[in-house]
Amino acid sequence: MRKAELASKIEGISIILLFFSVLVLMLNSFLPIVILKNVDNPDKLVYFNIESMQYSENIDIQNLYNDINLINIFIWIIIICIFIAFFGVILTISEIYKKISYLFLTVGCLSIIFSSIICYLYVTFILKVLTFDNILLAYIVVEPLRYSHIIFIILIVIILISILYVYLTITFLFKVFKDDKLKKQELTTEKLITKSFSKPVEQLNIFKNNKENINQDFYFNKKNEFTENRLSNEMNNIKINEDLDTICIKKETMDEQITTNKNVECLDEKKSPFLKKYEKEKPKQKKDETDEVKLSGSLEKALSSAIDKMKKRRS
Amino acid sequence: MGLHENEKFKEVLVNNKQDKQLLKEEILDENHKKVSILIDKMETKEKLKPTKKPFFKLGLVLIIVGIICLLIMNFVPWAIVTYDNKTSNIKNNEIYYYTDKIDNFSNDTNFSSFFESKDSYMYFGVNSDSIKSSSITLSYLLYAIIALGVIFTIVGIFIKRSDFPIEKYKLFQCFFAFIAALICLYFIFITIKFMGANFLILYNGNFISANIENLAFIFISPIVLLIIGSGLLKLTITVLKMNFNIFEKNYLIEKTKNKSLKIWNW
Repeated sequence: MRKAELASKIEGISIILLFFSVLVLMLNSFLPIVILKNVDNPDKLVYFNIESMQYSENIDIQNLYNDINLINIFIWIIIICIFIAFFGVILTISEIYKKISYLFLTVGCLSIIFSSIICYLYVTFILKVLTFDNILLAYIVVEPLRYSHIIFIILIVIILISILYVYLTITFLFKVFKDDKLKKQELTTEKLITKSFSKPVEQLNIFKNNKENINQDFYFNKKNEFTENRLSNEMNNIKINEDLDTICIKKETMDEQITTNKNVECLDEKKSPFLKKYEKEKPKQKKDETDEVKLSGSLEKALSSAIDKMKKRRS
Repeated sequence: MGLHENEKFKEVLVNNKQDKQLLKEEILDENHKKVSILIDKMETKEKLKPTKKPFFKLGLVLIIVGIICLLIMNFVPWAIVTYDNKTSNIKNNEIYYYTDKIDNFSNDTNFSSFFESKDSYMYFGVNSDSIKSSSITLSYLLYAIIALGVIFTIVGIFIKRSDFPIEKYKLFQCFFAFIAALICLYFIFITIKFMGANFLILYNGNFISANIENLAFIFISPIVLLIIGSGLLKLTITVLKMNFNIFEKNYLIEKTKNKSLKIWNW
């Protein structure tokens, strides 16, 4: 699975988890939870929800209210954790505050602990109610169907979803850290390559002026050429075809020229050896001139001063 | 014969050159088409990106919703109660509860004594005191929502004029939506107890008083506020989801760009 897909899945699951936790909170404060049986008149059944339990004069019901209130507080904590996790998913995708986003995602993992605690507390609450003679769990229409069972089933669903959430976040974070490591390695290799490219250019800069940095431009142009050639293989093929055509045309012209040059060579053979030497030496002189131009001004000055000194010594 | 062969050879060469040129043109046309398609795609992607800085209307929505809720709280009756009195034989007594006029709600002493006693708390979980306290807390929550909206709009205007990055502005919006969602949840948590009271009256309606019959409650404004609050919660979550989708799209585009760069610069 890709990183973005995982993030979207985490986002979807966190929304489902949020929906179920809000549903439990609403049902807890909305539905009747317990029934109080009158000892004198057993047909008189008084239903209590969380608000009415708070103001009841019966001590047992007040104790039960404390248990339910604790459950509600834990549900609130789960809701806040999920909201933070949702915010964390958005932060990780935006790649702005990375470290905080990972922390937020891990905060969302706490939902599994809190949901299991809630489930345990709810089971203890149900068992506690069953111990009383005059207090019953509120039933819907017929006796086996109770409101608390609906809440308990939703709590189990929350635990299952939170397990899935934790699994996905762990895989996501594992992938993220793996990618970060790979990125760091790539950066180090890139730095090494840039260093290796920059070294010869620096050495050349010692001998040449900054304006005449031919070598540097050469490396840069070479790099650009390399990347441009990589851009499209098809275009390259076309270029190669064109080159081949030009080569073919050149060959044809060369064949024609060879026939004309043969006559010139015959004339060259008739030339004197002095003239031949003179013609061969000509390009050499040109090369020396070009070399002189490349030398830096400081070197030229140094050389001229050295020549002057030698002349003075000889005189 | 030699001349003839040379001419034929030249004709063949010319034909080959023409064929090659035609092939070249075909290949170039195909490549040109491909490149044009790619350029069009790139342009469409670029067009999708907003050129101007967007102005998010979440703050305005929060302000409007807050004001509407305050108006509902003050001008819509909190509850409507109907009952029959046995002693005076008056049927279908209707009482309208308003948040600011709770104390003088009824002339019927039996009913008022019942509703202000502890029994009503026991049977419904709601009393005149609870109506007062919940209305005060709800009004504070609404003020908080309006304040959030005002702050968000001011910051939005400030960011639109300054060189603040859009991504951070979106994250800022997410943070505000997150706080607004939490406030909405608490808002719903308070209003839902009135729904619970409506539900409990089905079971405990018989134990109220010997003098009152056929009692029926309807908490109008809490139910309307509950609906608005849940709507606002949904809106905040959709804002969060929308921002997530935008960030996901940007993330995927950046990834593909990086990948393509890696391929070409290899």
